[in-house]
Amino acid sequence: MKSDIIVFLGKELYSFFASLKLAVILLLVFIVLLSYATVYESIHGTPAAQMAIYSTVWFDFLLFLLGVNVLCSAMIRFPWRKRQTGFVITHVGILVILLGSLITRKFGMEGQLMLTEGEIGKRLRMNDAVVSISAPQLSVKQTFDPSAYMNKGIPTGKSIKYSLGESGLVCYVDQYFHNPRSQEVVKDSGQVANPAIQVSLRRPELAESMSRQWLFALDTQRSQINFGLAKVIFKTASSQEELEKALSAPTQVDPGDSKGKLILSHGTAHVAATINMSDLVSGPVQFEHHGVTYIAELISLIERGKIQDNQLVEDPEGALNPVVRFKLISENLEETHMAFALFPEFGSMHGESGGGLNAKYEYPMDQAAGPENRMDIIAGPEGKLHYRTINTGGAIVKGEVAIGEEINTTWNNLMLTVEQHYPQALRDFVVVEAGEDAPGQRNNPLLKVRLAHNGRETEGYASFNSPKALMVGGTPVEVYFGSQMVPLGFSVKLLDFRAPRYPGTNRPMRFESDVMLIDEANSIEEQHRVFMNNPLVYNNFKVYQSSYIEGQNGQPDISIFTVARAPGTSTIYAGSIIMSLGMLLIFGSKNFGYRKTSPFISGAKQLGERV
Amino acid sequence: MRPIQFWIAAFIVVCTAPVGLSQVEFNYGPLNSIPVQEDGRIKPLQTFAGESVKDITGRWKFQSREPVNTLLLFLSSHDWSDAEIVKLGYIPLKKALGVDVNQERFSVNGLINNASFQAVAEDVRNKQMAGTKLNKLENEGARLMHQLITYQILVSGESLTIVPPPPGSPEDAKWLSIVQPTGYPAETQTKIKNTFSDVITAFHHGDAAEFEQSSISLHTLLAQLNTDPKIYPSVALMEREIYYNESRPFLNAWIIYMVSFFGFLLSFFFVKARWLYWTSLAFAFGGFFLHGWGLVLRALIAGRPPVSNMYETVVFVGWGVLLFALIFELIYRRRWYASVGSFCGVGFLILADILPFDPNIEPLVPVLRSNYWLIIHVLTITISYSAFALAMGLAHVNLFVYFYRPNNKPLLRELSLFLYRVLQVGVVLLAVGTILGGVWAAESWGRFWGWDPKETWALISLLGYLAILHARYTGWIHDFGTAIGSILGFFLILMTWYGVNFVLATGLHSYGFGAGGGEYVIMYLVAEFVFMAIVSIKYLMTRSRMPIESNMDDGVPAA
Repeated sequence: MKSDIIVFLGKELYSFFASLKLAVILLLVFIVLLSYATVYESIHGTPAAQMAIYSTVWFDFLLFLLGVNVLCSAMIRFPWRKRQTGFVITHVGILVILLGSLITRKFGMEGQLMLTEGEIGKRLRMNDAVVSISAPQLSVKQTFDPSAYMNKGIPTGKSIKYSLGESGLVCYVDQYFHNPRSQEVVKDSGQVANPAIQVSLRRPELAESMSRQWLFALDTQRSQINFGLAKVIFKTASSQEELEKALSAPTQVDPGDSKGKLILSHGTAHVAATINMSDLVSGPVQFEHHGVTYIAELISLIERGKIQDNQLVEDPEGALNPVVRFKLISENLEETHMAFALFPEFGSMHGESGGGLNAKYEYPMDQAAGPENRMDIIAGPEGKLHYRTINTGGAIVKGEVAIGEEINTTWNNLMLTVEQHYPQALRDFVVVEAGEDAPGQRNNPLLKVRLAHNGRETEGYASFNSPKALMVGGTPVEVYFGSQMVPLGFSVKLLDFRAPRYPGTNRPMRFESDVMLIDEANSIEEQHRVFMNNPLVYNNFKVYQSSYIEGQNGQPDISIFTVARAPGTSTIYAGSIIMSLGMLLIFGSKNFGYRKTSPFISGAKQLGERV
Repeated sequence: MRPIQFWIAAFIVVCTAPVGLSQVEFNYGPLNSIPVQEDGRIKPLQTFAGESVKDITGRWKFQSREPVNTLLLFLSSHDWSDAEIVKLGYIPLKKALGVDVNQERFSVNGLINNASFQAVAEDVRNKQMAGTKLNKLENEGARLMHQLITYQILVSGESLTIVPPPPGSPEDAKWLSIVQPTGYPAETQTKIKNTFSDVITAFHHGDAAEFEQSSISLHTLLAQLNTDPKIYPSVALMEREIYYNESRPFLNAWIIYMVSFFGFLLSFFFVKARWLYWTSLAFAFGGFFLHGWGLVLRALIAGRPPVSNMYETVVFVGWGVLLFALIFELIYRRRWYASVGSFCGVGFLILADILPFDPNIEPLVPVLRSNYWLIIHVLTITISYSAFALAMGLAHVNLFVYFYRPNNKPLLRELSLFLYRVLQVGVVLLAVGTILGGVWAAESWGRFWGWDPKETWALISLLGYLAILHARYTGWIHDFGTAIGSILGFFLILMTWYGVNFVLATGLHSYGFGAGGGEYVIMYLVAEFVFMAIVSIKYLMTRSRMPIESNMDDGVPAA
């Protein structure tokens, strides 16, 4: 009786797993799930999608369910009739493909090999991350899997505890930063004098401030900020006199230096002459290039130029747009050049140049508008803040700064606010989570770890892929958080990397590496060329060219290879061929596999008469 | 003529009005076939001029002028900087620049002097420097900047890289611009420049004979500079591309398809008119061959199969629809395939033209540089889209019949079978194509499957069609459901084909990325949903009044 029920239930279950309805439902589930996964990937990036969907256990389970469904649907129809041949072959093919994927998943591996020219690579960098803790003095080394908290994070206030056997060494992971950013924190120490202000600038038409920054009067690197063409300078005045001086006299800038330079070149690379604009203003300048004597003679130099009715005119009200026009004269050449500092590509408009030299006008944009676009904020001797700026009319505007209130800088009506002011500031840095990056960008995760041994504790940060040496109670410990490194069994030496371009462009046509395959155990040393669609095959491994970083300024190039072992590939190929044959059999059969479930259809033969 | 005289001539040209110059009949032939190196390939000057002019003005034949004519006008006169030539269609950008929203084209100088444009340009430059993603407005701003720069370097002659590198240069050496042919001896340089200015002067004076003479001299002079056939292409090669440009095979093909389609429409009403059927079919074949010839020419010019960007795949899918339609038409000869095929042919070729896809022939990114795999994987996948597009078209006819003639069972039966046959072809090709993609990936990257968005979507589409076929076997859907499913399935194809590159835009396959056309796709989707809703309501109402006969005779045995 009991066994009857089991047999009954077993049959029910069998026919459920073999049912077409389950197949349709599974297909629909996969359609929805995979669509969602691709959208998820486009928002969160490929690694996140792999981790959240494709590499999960439940995704494997769904694939397994599909396999069971395919298998049962074929088995339940046994013994098969002749007309079912196509159907059976197709479904066997699908099973073989799934089996091949399983083999690759189980026994395959894939890693990265990043080599600089001349470097020998022996170990593969895997996609999986590990935490490896070693203390040679305690003779312990252990590796842990951080994927759980890399996926979900560590709840605040909790830590992950790694105990290293009987050595008594314990490592706590207190925080995990997916995308860490080091953030400056400014506090009031109340001790050492170090005046600091936090300023923000706002465009009148915008509600929000554009930027907020700390300025430190005593730190020359941090005492001023440039906002486009203007700058804000923070300084101190130790006496009342000094303060008054700072509030009154604007610093004079030598006008000669502020006019910039004219660079004449042959093609784009060969500079023929560099002429100071102030020299050109005072008279013609003579120079020699490739044995030819040239004379440059100024026609006009306009700071706020504008093209009006095809004429270059000065527009005193207009935006800064320095333009120089000059004549270039040599033995058999006399031509007029016009060069815009802001639009170098418009320089040789309409044949105003071309005889032989290109003209480029370099204008010192940071001091472009002279001394006027500048606001000084001065911390006076009595601890108050003062400001000084110059309005468009040239008059000095000064006053006392009220914290949190806007001051009109007079340039483009930009509003400046001093948000905070600490006379005795202290700078500190903390690590914060910056949130998810835009897709395609690499982030560099970070662990905050705490080591405990014999009642002592040490804290530290372990950054991804860089081993961190810490001391706990006199015992050196190395904490490595990063990709798992796996020995390859042979080595690959990068001899040369090349990325030839499409003629006349900067677009790579292909990229290829010359590598030396070295296997000392079998005394093999062979040279190979690896490029897209042409991997190096050795010991069941395939080494593919996947990416590169070209060395700038004579630095060696870096070539990036994907090294993979996919033992299921041939099974997948076999399954693919079987499945394709099966499909052709079904659709090529006498009634094209056309099942007449429709109330209207009674066969393919009842077609209308041919024309 | 010394250079300074050339510039004096240019100055004179500047002072005179450019209008009216086009009245003289010039022979642009010798100039058209001068090779230019641009964008990584050598193309005839006609293509270069057409692409540049289209970039700036939005039209290949701006003001119905020959591209080279427009180029010469731009080169010879300053006044064009003040003429309204720069196409700007994006309304939010026009509003941001404070210009007339209804105006289509704007002058170069007007834009350069526009303070708001300078502000946008600065923002774009800052963002590009910082590597920040641009928003839609900034993207359009960047495009406008590109148009202006294209104009500027065109009129300065810098982009006219028609001078081959000196003999002995490597094959991939950069060509030189006509205004700066450095690397040659000084007298050669002067000769090159002077010959070029002769052409401009003759053009400016409207002297057709002198223009032709100096054009030929220029072409001959340039061809003699470097006679290495690997560097300087033959005239025949250039002429072939000019022939492709001028014969406009795709335009003519859709006109022929249109004739064929209307022929079939007429033949539906006069069933007996066999001659009409055969004539229409002949037209469909004519269009098909012309269409194919265009693709062959394109493949020969580019040196690779014509399926590497959105424009090319749209054209190719259109051709595939006709391929399947005509094969099935020859088997069944019931007009349905051929008429739907002709209609799709017109549709796809018009779409390729009106959608903002770049029709320029451009070199391939490294990953695609394997003709063997490109041919078998990409062509198989792409042609499966054709089968599904044809199925989608037939599904519409099927649904129309359900709507207007729900009782014409023989017709419905026939259409459903036809639809089913095309679906089968599509499923086989998509499955095989996807697998071939896996094989290619396994051979190039070491993994058969990596859940890349494009391959995932190809799989989703395949699963979608398999769901339709299996749901038919379960009896959950019938012929009507299959027709609806064929339209829904095509949405998946659209996502695979267009959406992955334009909507998701990530992954290994995003090299086909471009911009635009989204509004057309949304319009299409909305229209389809409305259509399907209407026919479904009608169908459900009709069916509820009819007895359902069940004849479950299976081709694949049930449990």
